[in-house]
Amino acid sequence: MSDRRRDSQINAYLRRMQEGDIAALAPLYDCTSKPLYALCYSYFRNCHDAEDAVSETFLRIQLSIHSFKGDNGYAWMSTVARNICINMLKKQNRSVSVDMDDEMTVRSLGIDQSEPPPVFEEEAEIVTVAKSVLNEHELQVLILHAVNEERFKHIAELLGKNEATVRWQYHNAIKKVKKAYERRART
Amino acid sequence: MKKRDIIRRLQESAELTPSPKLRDRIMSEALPPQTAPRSEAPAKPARVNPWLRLMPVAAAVVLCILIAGGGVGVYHTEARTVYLDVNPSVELSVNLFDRVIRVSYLNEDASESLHNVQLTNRSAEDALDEILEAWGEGGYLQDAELNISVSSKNTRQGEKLLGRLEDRAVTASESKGYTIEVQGNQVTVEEKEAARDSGLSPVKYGLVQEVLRTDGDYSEEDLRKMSMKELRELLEYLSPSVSPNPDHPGDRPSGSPDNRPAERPDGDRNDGSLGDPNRDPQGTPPENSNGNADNHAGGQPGNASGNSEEKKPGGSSENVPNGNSDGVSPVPPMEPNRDSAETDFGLGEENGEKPLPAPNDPQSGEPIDPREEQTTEDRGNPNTAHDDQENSPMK
Repeated sequence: MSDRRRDSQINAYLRRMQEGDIAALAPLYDCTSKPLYALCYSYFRNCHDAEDAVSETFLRIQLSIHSFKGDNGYAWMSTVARNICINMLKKQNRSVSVDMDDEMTVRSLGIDQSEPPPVFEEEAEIVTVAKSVLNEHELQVLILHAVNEERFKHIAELLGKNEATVRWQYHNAIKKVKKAYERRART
Repeated sequence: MKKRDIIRRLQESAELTPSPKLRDRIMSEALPPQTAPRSEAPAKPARVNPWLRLMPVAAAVVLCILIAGGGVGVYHTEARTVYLDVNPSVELSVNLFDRVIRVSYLNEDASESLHNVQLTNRSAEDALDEILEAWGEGGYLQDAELNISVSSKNTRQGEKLLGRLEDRAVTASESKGYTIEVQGNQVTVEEKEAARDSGLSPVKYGLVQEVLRTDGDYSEEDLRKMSMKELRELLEYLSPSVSPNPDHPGDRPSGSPDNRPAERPDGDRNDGSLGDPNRDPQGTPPENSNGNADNHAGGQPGNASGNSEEKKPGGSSENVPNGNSDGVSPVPPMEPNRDSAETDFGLGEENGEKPLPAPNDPQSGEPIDPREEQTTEDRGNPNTAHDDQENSPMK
């Protein structure tokens, strides 16, 4: 789907929600969940927090749907997601770190450990490699551009950076991942 | 492994895909329809002076008089300039209504191919269609690059026009079977002026200047005759470690010998300004205060954004964070414009394009093939090693 078509669809869903049509939430989610999830993942680097952030994002969007004005719904949603991620990160930094080996703590927090940890298949390994060699900004830019296919201009606006810096970080990230992945494949 | 493979793997990664449970969770948490806040409720209409109701009518009458009297002048006033480059190169002067009022052929190919084509008084998009049809018949649009540049004092309007032209070009290429890569640029008035005397479009002028700066062995006359694609390939050949960025053909590659990891001044170029032809040929950009249109890093003859870029008054630096907070080499690499019609991830070799003849490797004496996935580290470039030290992976 082209950017413009996607954007116009998202705008249409948001306007329907403004008019009270909550049935528009499902197609809106289907249209935007993957890029928003990838965006949140780029902040937290783990699935649990990313999912929490996405859930919070959709909640916030529903609550503040009437504040959406203009014609760039996806940009608005990704800004909401970004702000939520930043706030959650701040809270996490202030909170006491959880010892996942402590069964009492884990149980009290309701953390579901019944699912096995993800198996690093060949496709997933690239993300592991990327997380290990890239800094926070590079991973964000890489995910936003390579996975979400966001334009550099939008990424720059979202992250509050200069577009040239974003381009350079993306290119640098690709180079680093490529080198690290090739090194890993040889070992 | 190619860059395209990395991107594909990332896109297909399960790690970056939300689980189906998330959807169920969000749907189950869906809120009832939210009512608009009271503050947004429509206010009672204020009492309006009845004479004020006549103001729009009066304004319309005045406008009609002005239009009748001065409309002709407005119609023929150039508001925007559109440049179309393949190898034929043409400049269209466009008025406020996006109608072509003047056509300038920037080279012989353009004049030969378009002299029988009626372009004036047509909308810019229709003119583009006519031009592409003429060039298609002339065989210029096979495996070529079409560069569309727009220069406008009103950046927003220029951006809109550029977007429409790009869309139209893409549609035309798909329907007519042209194999072209569409690149869009916004060009500042300064860049336009800088290129005016050269007889080239601003983007082509920038490319030519960048090639001359990179390697002075080429003659300007020869470069002027080359197509956009050939110029970019040449630049890529001259700087093979970096994938080409059609928007920044002059960018110094991050691994090239000329790229010093120097501090970039505040205000990374985001206003589409061309490189300063008077700058230090080693590529160290001049220190500049914010808002200076010449502020740039690494020489970027093309538009920094590619297209649809909003130029804020006073230059780009009000959007710019204070330098590069990462403390890493600040020069942006060349990067394919993802906003173009065709996605080009690579160095051209991934598109199967034939590279230019390569020089011999000074160490081995064998020809260096720029299509090989060679990094500058493999070539023992000390700057890349320095980069690695600076950009150490996060723990």
